[in-house]
Amino acid sequence: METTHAARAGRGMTALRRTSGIIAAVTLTTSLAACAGGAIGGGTEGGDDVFKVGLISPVTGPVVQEATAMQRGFELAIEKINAEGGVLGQPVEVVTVDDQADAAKSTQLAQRLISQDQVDYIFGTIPGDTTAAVAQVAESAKVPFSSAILGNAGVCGQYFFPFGEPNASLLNGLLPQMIADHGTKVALVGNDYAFPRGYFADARTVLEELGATVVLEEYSPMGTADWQPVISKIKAAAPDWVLTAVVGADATALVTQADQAGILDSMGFTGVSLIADFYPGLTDRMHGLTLVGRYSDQLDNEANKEFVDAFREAYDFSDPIPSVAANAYEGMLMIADAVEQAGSTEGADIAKALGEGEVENGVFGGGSFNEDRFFMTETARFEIREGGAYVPVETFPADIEGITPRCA
Amino acid sequence: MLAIEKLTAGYGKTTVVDDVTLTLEAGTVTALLGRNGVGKTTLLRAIFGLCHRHGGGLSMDGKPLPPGRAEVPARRGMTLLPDDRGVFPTLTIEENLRLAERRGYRPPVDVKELFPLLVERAEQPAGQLSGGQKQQVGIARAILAGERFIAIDELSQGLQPSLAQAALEALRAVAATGVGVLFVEQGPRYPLAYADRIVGMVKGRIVLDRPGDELRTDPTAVTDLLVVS
Amino acid sequence: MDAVVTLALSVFTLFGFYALLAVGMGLIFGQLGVVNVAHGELVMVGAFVMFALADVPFLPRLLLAVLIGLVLGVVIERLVLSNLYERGFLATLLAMWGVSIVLREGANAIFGSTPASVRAPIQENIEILGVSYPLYRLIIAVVALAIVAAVLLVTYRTKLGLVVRATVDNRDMASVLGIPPRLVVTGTFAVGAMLAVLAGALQSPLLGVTPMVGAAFLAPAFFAVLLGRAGSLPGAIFGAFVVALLSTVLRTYLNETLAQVVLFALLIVLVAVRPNGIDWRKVQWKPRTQPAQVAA
Repeated sequence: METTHAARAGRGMTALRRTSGIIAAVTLTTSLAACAGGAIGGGTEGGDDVFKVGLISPVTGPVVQEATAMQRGFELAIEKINAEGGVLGQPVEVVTVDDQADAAKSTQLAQRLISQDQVDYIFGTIPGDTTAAVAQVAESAKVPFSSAILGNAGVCGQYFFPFGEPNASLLNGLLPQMIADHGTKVALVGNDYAFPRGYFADARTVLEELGATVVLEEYSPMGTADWQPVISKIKAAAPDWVLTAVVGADATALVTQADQAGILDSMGFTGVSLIADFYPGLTDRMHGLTLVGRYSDQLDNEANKEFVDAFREAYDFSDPIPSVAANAYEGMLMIADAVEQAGSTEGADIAKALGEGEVENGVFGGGSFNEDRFFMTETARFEIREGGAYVPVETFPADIEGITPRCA
Repeated sequence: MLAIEKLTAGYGKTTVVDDVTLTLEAGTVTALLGRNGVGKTTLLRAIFGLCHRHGGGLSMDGKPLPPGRAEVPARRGMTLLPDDRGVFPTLTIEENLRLAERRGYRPPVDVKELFPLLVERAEQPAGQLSGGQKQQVGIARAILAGERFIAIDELSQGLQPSLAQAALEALRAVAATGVGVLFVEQGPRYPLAYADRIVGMVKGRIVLDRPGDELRTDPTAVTDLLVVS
Repeated sequence: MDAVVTLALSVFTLFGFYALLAVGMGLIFGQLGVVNVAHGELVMVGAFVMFALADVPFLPRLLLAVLIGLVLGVVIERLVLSNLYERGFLATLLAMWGVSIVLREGANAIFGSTPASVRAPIQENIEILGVSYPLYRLIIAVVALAIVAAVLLVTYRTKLGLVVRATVDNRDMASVLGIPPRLVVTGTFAVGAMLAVLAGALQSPLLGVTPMVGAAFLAPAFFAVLLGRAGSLPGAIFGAFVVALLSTVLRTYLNETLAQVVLFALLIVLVAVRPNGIDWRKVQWKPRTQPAQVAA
């Protein structure tokens, strides 16, 4: 897919060389940028309606794990769509790029996807700042854009349709239950970047409404390997339970060291550090803990069975399937439906169809975008059991009370 | 014993030692004499593989010595005291000497008797010593390690005459047990007094090679060699 | 009282780990003049060895990690470094940087990026002056410090150590006394690399093991070595203590983000105000007497 793109860029260069023998290097760069917006890209073979999607997947850099899961879910959806006849009678085309989770690169690549590859839709990004960067580019070019990772990107737009779980939907089911089970003193432990800070800001709002107190709020840099000082602080603060937003290898280190220090036995422990993505590093340490989320490969419905089987077979994957993969899969299927409904690959038409669209019998059951353009589905409280089974024990209707920002 | 055959050597592409052929005998004290910069040090370093060998060969008891690996001649009982004295500055005097000791070899002279300093300052790091004191450590080390052949560069540098004489007496005693000794000097005094054989160098080549006794009676050749031409 | 005991235990356990890292890096730094920027990735290799061979009992697995560390060290020194010494420390630094990328990407290709974990052989907590603390952490700190002490003993009290120190002091003269310098250099690097791999293996049950995990360990080891006086080996271990103490105290009494900033600011100031501050032109244990290159 990347080759399509490279070949096109190559053609551009040849044309340029032919016409500009003695132009200095600086000029060359400028004209190249100018050409990128012009006709050299070739575009979608005239006016026909091939639906073309740009995937921004940071498969190198700090969020490889999430990006890989997202890309896998996305590609399964594309396979399914094309196997069933494509969109508007033609197979969907995909251009995949890697922004390495670097917002400056994300902006550049989004611009390139729109002007040079002339994609009709942009999908992807993982960290919030890269999502916001792409949303801005997409908004001004009127190209619809969707992300799939959980959490709030903190931006709104007429063309931005995030499929990730909004913070509030994760918190609203979870926090009252944790307070009821364990008590009202809460410690918040996260990594130091946009998502945990936003997640905890939303959590604080909800906790205060519920009459709970935050006794500790701690953000450790990404890549923290020694959690002993944080564990000492948790012990000193003596909360009834801990809400985590520590991710990746840090999540494994934190939960492992907290377990060794006896924290998992002596107080409640939940949050993003327990999501399916991190199960392989923790396994039985997590058993018996609960958290609230939208997706688990244990969800009992036809669409999910099909997805889980396809995913496990395609990627020889035996761990719990991360929600970002399901979000990307379900999201891309919904987008394809919307384009079909709209009967056009025009950004405005797709956005309108998406806003009005509704998923029935999807991997999450039903789902649709609300007026704030958050994707709303049922959520469930999952109990983590033997073998990484995130078993739903209670379900909640879509609830985004206290959500930020309000986009409507 | 040590055969140098048409040896050409230097640093990088520069040639300093030019086509030198020389055989050094066991039990003989040889002095290598010449003015500053004629290639004496380079010849010594070339024997131990410490500079670039451009051509020619070296052998010890008929077995060739490879270029670039000083540990090989060392394992054959040869040792060198370089002109920078080569002490290990962070190691104590005692440790400097211990590194030079060879299993199963005791030199015929007691170096600690020869240089009482070695006992008095045994625990002092060698880097803190004066130049002459380092020279004593170096000579002692050479006597300990030189089971078959000892090369000493600039033997008398920094040494008071009484100690230089004592050192040369000791080296003669060592040579008497069959060890080959080669020492470098810029002046005629010690070579004429102590050497069995005197070899003179000019511009990288051997120009003089005569028995010490002969030159002691008629030192003209030696003085000619050292006069600025 | 409890807080003080916990703090002391945390400093002690972190010191054990950092000391093991610093002594390995200090050996390589002193003997080869190489800034081993791949030290963290060697730690990562140790952790992955423990993960990959999870079926082997813990102690034999540690021995395997030691062996793999030695072999890896020999391979890196012979294949990558041995031809670069003459080009100076920048060339070797860049080469080791390349090695770190190869190790990281290699681990990524083999194990992927999902965090893995290693089960600690000891799960119990121990009661010390009224504070409950994970026993495994204390044991590995004691083991690490015992290894560090052994390295110091060998270096300063044995003939082998004498040979190593002599080679650092004056490589030419060491070879003139029959010490094969190439062997000593390769051996020192292999031991330094092995110590990093071993540190990673010991620490692995506390970590989320990913190809990126080593990144967190380069800076502490590096500052520990820099803090040591003129790059001496005991100095590097003292440096490790300073880094562990500052890091733990700051992280206990300040919030995490601020602690990190203050820690590195303090370390940089400490390195800068030291009278024998860093001097890249002589990255040895002590200034070396250069053998005369142009001579009579």
